[in-house]
Amino acid sequence: MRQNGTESFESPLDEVLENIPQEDPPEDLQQRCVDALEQAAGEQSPSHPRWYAPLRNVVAAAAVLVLIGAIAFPYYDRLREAARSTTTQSGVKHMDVGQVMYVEANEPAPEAYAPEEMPPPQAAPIHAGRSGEAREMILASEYQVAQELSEGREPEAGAGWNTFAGEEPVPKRRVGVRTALREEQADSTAVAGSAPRVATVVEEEEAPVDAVSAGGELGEVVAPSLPGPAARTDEPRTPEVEDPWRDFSGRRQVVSTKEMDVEVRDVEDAYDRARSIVDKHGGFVASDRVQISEGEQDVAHLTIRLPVDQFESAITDLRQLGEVVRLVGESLDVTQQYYQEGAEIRGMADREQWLVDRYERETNARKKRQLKQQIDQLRRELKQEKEILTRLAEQTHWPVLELQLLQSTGPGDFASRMVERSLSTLAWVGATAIIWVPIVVLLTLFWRRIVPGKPQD
Amino acid sequence: MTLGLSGTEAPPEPESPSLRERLRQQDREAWERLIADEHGRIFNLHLRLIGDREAAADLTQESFVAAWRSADGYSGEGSPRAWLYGVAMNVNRSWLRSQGRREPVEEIDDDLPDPQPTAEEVAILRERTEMVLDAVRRLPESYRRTVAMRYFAGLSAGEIAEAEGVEPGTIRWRLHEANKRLWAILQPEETAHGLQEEEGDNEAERDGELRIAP
Repeated sequence: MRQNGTESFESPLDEVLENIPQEDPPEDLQQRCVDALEQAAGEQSPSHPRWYAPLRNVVAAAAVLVLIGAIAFPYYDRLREAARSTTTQSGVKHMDVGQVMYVEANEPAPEAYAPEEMPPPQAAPIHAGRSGEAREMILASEYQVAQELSEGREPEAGAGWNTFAGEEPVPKRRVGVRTALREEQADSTAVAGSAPRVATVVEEEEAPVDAVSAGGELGEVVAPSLPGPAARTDEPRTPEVEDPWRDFSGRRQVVSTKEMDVEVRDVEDAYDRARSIVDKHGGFVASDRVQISEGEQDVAHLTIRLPVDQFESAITDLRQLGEVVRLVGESLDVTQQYYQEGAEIRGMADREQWLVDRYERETNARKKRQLKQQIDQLRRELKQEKEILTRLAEQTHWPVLELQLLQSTGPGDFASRMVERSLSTLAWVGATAIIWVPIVVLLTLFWRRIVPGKPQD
Repeated sequence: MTLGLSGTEAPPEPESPSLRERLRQQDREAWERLIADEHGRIFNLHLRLIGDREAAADLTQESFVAAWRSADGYSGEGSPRAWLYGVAMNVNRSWLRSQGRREPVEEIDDDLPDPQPTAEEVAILRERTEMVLDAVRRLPESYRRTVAMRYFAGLSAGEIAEAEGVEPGTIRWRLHEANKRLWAILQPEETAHGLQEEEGDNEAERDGELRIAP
């Protein structure tokens, strides 16, 4: 047992361990130690302040992090961009599916107008959803007009139709039936389903107007087809979208716009190739601007309209012109607006037809004048509505691609861009390090000051 | 050859604040004095832990050089000896690692009995120092350091705690555990050894008894 001041160790092995005899060190050991110390002193670099070593370590670690960050961040950016693109595609796909489901559930338009297939309103109400509501409103207003006429009153402007003067008001369902019967008499070549409605619209555009015009009482004829925006200038015009108000397909209608910047070796050559690609896909160049000059980067900008079904495949082909450095897409779903507008136009056309019929039968001059005013007013509104829908259809059927062709500086361009990105990242990480390194150093020094460290090697 | 003084007796401590500061500032005279006072004990510390005189001498040199280089890390608040032996133990550990020695796992074993050697057994062990030292070398790192600083360098529990950066109570607990482990290492070996050398001795057939040939 050993007593060391107040300490006492009770282990029975103490005596064994404490009494292990010491051996003499080599005689020259002391001198060797002194020599080694002198040698170490000679090798030692000029004394550094205490904060030098931790600061050096932190700076070295920060430098390594900066380098790794500078190398990795551009790739990280690309990955993030790719992930965003995937997410967007997924979202668009979901919207697509959702819209199709919505249209299928709420737009039984062709069936609703087919007399033999139209379900009774009570059994399968057609007013579910906003498009259905619009149609319901039309039918309700038609019923109201019929009521007023049967009571000998003038229908209000903008109200519905489909009941002849003196007739009993008919239930809503029978309205469609009678319309179809009238179409059969007119020897329509309509197809089952959407046929009756189509025939009605054709009538509205041709026969009644001609008839009235021939009488010289109703004034100018409404043009059956409406010019698109491109038709007003000498620029290539968007091919007409044929009577979008007769579209009962229920397909999703999306206004798409994309902007793509492509770096190419030869802008002129790429420009020609781009035009041929556009032609191949049935599109056209709505406008273009080419700038080729000495000492400046050649640039060509094309505003391209493409058929909606060729849009993506054309972009895929155009991507082959060079390296795509930017691709931005934007889309807006206008399906509801599109079909609702079409339904309104059909309702207005039916009402116009009915007014024309009444006008022809009317013998009272005063009433004929009133009817003429109503017909003119209705035709103006109809024209506006058709213009709106036609423009919308042009946008959905002919999406726009803004293509920019930029001259690349050569094969090293990618490397220079990567260097540029790395430098910008480096600057960012460096700026961050400037803030954090002093904080870490101060914290390290503070820690070392308040916590007594273990002996160092 | 053995030194005249006991290995656990503390040498005169260079405790004056001015000396500590001089050590910290790498004053040559102060360091030469420290070498003169401590080189023998540092040498013996290494020798007991590795059993090789030449290597122990080299490690003694390395220990002083390492302490010199890290002098600015010495706060000057604790005992210079405690700090010096801490550095020496780190040098020793690095050397053992460079030699490919695998450290035993520091697992807690509550089943180890407290050592209760008889006076005869203690006397035998005092004769067999190399065996005891070998058992010390087989202790896990933290116990070995503590035992070495306590018994070979003669530091108090407070000084060891200061050098290790732990509480003195931890050092006392480590010493207690180290003793139990040492006894656990020594006991079966000695039993086997005794059985080999003293075959036929009735008393030697008792399990767990330390039996050593005279």
